Amino acid sequence: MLQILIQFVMNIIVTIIEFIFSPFLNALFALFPSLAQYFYYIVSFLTTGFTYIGTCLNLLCFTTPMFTLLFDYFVIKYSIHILIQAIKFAINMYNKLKP
Amino acid sequence: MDYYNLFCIFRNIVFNFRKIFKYISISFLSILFIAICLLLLSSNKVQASTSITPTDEFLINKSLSAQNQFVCFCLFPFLNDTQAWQQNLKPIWDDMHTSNLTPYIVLQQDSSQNRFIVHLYKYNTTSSYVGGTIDDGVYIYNSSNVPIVNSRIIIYDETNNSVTTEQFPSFISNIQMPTVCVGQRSDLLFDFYNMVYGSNGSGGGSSYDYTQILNDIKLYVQGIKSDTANLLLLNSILQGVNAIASISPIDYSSQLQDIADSISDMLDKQDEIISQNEEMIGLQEDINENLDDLNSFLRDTTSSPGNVTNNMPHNDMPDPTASQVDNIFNMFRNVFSTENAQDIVFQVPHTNETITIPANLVTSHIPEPILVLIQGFYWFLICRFIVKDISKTVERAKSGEILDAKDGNIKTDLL
Repeated sequence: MLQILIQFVMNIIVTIIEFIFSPFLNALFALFPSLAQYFYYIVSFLTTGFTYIGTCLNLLCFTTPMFTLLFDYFVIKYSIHILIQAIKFAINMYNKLKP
Repeated sequence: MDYYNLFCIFRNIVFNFRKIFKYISISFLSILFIAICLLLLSSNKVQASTSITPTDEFLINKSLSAQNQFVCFCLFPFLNDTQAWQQNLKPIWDDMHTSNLTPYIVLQQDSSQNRFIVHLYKYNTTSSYVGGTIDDGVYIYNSSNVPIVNSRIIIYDETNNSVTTEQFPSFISNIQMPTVCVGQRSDLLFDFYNMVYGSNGSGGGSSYDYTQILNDIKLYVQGIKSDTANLLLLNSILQGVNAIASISPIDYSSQLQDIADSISDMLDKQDEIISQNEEMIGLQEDINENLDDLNSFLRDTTSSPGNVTNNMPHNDMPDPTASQVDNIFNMFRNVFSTENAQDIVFQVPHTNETITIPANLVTSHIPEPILVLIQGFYWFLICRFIVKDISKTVERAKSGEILDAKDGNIKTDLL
């Protein structure tokens, strides 16, 4: 039940955030009808730009485990950072909202 | 200069070791001194020359209480001249009277067989014993060193109020006995002894003055803790005082009333304790029930949170960034972490020729040791960066920069 409670709280938070952001999303779609296409082009551009990245790395004698290590390190580092910031945010919110 | 530095280092090491050894030796000597003091205090030889310890006090009180209880069991049979007194109890007191020994009594209730067993031991104070302490005429023995002269088992039948005795079995040495103390008679035992073996050798009767015994019984009843009193003991006390009242023409109404009031107070306290125990048991059951409910609630996996959240308002509009932007990080990671090298092909304009740069152009022409050396250098750079970054982060955390939460600056903290 504890797991379900946590899921329930998270669902509530996600639902509330969706509800809060829905007017902005509606405004975005009304004002910029091609917004989704815009993001699609950004990703297409990046995909095209990254086509020969692997070749360049191979020419410079890099190996993929090096970058895997680097990426995973940043994932761990910023996950901890975001977790700490989330805890601080929750504590601050509690301090502001408590009677 | 170098030799001087080495000498300074060596001197500092020796100085620090001397300080450590000095501290250790002082600590060790202190602990050794405290341990020797504790051993001396706990030994019997030192205990004999000091005052009685609380443990000895407990044993003495237990012995006196057992003597008082034994008198209460003997009082009614003696005054009514019953068969139980003549055949079973009187021989014990006769042994005590003729040998002039001090009894020690161990009372043991065997609830499973609904009978009360009294172990009566008698000690000769001149008997040789190993260990034990002597203080104010009280002898404290270890259980394995008790000099038993005579002993019996007295069986009180709770239902019939009958008394029988048995000689203690010969295998007493195999029975585990508690540490006992002898040498001190209770006042009640002394009074009863005088009553049984009075001036003419047959005490009691209507002419005997029971004032002292009744006062001692009153004090004994007042000293009994209500939570440890058993109904059989109360019954024997009541039988004894009723027997005194029935056979004596002297008016003991005030003493009897005091004893009745004491027993009544004790029973009231016992009822109060019983009711408190019942309340506590009920409270404990409530707590256990609530804990069970809480556990079952926390461990319940049958329900689902979707039943509530599904009924909340939803925004069905698709997220414009959901399909592509979410994968940007994965795309970056996959590009750099997967083997997807491909040849670079240039198309020469207006011809059908192409220029191809193979992906393994460098690696195929560099010898393997040099390639390993270059890749090792890269590994060194990346690992050095990670270690430096971790140390920098740790320093920031130690200085409180990361964990410092400012109340009014949530936005800055989040960003």
